[in-house]
Amino acid sequence: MEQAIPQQKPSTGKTVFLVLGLIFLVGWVAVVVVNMLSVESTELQGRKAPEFALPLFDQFDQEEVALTDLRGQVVVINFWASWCVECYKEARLLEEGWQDYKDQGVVFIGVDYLDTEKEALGYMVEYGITYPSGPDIGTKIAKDYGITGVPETFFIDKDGNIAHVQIGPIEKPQLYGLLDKLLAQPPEGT
Amino acid sequence: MSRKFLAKLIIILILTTAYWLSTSPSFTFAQEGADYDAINRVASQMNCPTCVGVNLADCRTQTCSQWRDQIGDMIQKGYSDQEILDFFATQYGDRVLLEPPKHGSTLLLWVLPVVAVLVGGGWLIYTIRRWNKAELAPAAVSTPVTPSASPPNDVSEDYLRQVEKDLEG
Repeated sequence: MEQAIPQQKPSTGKTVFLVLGLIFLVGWVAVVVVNMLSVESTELQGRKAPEFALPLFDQFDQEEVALTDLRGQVVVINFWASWCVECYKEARLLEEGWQDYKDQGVVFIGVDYLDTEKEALGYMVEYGITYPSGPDIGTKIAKDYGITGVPETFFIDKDGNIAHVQIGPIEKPQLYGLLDKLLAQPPEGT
Repeated sequence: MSRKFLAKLIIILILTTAYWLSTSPSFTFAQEGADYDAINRVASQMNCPTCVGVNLADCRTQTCSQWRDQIGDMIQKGYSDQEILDFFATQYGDRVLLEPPKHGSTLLLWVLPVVAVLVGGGWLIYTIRRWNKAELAPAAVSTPVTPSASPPNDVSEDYLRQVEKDLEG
């Protein structure tokens, strides 16, 4: 008859060591997964634009602007900051574009990134910005859109998809060309 | 020039300098210095939002300069250091804080290094113990040869008899 071999119980130290190892492994995997899930703005091109509701600065009649309410219109989302030197180069052009296209079904939105309100409002006065703008609270919108810096401008088509991502200041022919092209496209399902 | 005249001139110079120092804007400067200390006390607990690994108190970018001005404004309005830090964390995200909060996803940043050290240390101790055991093993584990032990197949009977004789003798 075979004798049963007594099972040796793992020591407490060994169990603690294994549990700690498991915690470390799970934590490490979580960090890797979070990093893998974050995408850069250019990778979003052609994808659905992340939804957001931007609280607007006090000078605007509306309290906030929500992307979901703008479906069927072409939306230009510009990330800017008063400390951003490159943003100065396109500030007046964006306002000009807003004035020229606002009655044709185009909405401009300014998302103020990592900025102080006093300087942001000063910037808007200096460059005559009148399109809806507000602070990106907690930089949540910037994270969702994966911006790599400012300025960055996203062109959303009538179906809510990101048609183009502009990194750095935009020029007039490109801005107007993109808006004309997106306005000419009929929304899906029509 | 007489000595008396020189002495008078020196006294007048000293008194003029003392008067000028007392009426110059040094008081204002001292007060601003105190504000800077308060601003730096808060700023030193924050990161530059647009650079990597730079403290807000040491950073010279325009962004940081604006942020420090805002901290100064908030101090003047009576906000406490913690209220200012909370405001910035809410407004711009936890990453602006030098020490990430010990809750939510940032808790991992606190826990993982400790766990890594514990696991690493445990592994090191375990490995060293195993090495020590392996070195001691040949002496400690050797089984004494007894007559009852069954002989290996490839050992001749004559050899075994000789060994038993030697052991008894």
